Amino acid sequence: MPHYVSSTNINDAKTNLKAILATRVSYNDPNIVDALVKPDQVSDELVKTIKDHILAHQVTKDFLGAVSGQTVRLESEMYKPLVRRSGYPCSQYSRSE
Amino acid sequence: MNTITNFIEDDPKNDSEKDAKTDERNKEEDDEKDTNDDHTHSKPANDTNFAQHIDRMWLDVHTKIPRTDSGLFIPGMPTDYYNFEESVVVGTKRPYPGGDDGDSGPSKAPRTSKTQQSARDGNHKGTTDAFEKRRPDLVLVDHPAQDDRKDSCLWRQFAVLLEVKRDRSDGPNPSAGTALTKLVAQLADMARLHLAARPFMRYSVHLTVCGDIFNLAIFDRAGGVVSKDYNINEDLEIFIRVIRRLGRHLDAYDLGLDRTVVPLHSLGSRKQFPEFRVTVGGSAYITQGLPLWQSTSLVGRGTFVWSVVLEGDPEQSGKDSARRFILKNVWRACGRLAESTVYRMIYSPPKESTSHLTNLDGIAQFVDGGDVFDPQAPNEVVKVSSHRKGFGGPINEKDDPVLHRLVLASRGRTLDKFTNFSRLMRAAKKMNSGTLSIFDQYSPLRLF
Repeated sequence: MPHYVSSTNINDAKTNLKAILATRVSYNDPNIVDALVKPDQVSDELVKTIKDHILAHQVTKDFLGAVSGQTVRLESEMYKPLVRRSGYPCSQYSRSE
Repeated sequence: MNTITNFIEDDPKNDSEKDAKTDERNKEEDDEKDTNDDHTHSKPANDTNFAQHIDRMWLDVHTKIPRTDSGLFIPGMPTDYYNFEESVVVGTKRPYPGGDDGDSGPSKAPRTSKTQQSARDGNHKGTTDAFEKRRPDLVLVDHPAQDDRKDSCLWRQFAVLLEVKRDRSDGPNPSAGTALTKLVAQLADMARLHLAARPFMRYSVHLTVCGDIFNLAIFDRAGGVVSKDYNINEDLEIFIRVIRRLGRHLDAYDLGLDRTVVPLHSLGSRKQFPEFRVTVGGSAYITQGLPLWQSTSLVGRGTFVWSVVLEGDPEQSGKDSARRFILKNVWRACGRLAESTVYRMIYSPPKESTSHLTNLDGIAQFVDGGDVFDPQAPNEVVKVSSHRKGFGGPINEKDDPVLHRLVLASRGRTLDKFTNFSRLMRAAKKMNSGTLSIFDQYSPLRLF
């Protein structure tokens, strides 16, 4: 059982979200990825290997094409591994399959 | 996505060494992990700072309701998980927040559940509770290797949240102007829950994939920042790098955790709600269990209240029960008087002004507190602008929240702990006397 009760009013929070946030979001920021994630820290060789592998497989190429064409099918129609619901560590991904 | 499985081998020699300290640690972990097929646990850090342990995995949770720890109540999160999950039809998605008008967006199907129930918000009528049932599509969760792998997860385990839409027109950036887009409102709503459930966060990190457009976004106590659009086909290398960095390189501090606190347990442990070592003034305090209270608003003070014990308190040695304090962690408006300053004024007023001050019996006993200084810039206090360096629009100096903490020695009790009515009334009388003493009789401290 919860050990306390919050005084937060949901409707107030909703108003807060829409009204206050509207003027507080910066869009189309060109620097946030570089400043926050620092993608250039990943080795070029690793990136090239992954990219080549992705583009070498028809299934993933088709998927990227569908994404681009906005024709991604419903889950029930999709290639099964793409809709699996179990998670895998980032160090492992699909090695067990 | 399983096709990229066998190519997670890093060559540390080729990795840039710009982010030396963090990356050296991570590269070591990469070496160890990537040469083992088994999911081996990260090599323990030399210290016990679990913020720097990186064991994460992606989970598809779009058909599941992420949970909170037992006993932790966050308004808007359902408490009847099992009934709720059973009623969610696989493959359907929820409407945007504020979808009271039934407009669920072009690539969404409205939730079919009729059992959506707000947790104690007392608002079960109409459809306004659509705002409360947020869940991301995919999440990057902290997941200690020794824990059993489970499909469900807790909000506080989330390191990064990912939202997927089929159409690029649903992207977070407005096509024109700066109007709040539906997706940003949806992300912000999840961000407020994320920041409420995962303690001591400065910001919440989100990825969006809308058609072939992907974006990175963060939300903090001052608002949010959304990246420019990247095309997943044209910028596939950037996408790979971002996913790699989020999953394997960036530690909890890089992903928003307050750099001045140290988690003493894994942030991803299901069984153990992590304790945090928090420094206030010259002393360190250890949080005990769940927070007593936390704010669920995104923009604002983001208050957390904890029960804490003084680290290495000599009075605790040999005793079973430690002396407990109250720790309050807030983002205060920089233009307002700090709460710790108010307490100091109350407890150390000029002598000539206190002759008529009856007593301070009903006022919480102040121990220590103040603005938190940035460990990376010791002469600067931690503000929202501290983590927005290099990106985002300029923040108004008068509207740049400052991280503030204070410790109080007075620790109350919850109403259900009072065993008889007279004790409850005595407590109420004390509270009332304190209010009268300070605000009515001591005119220089009138704050309203």
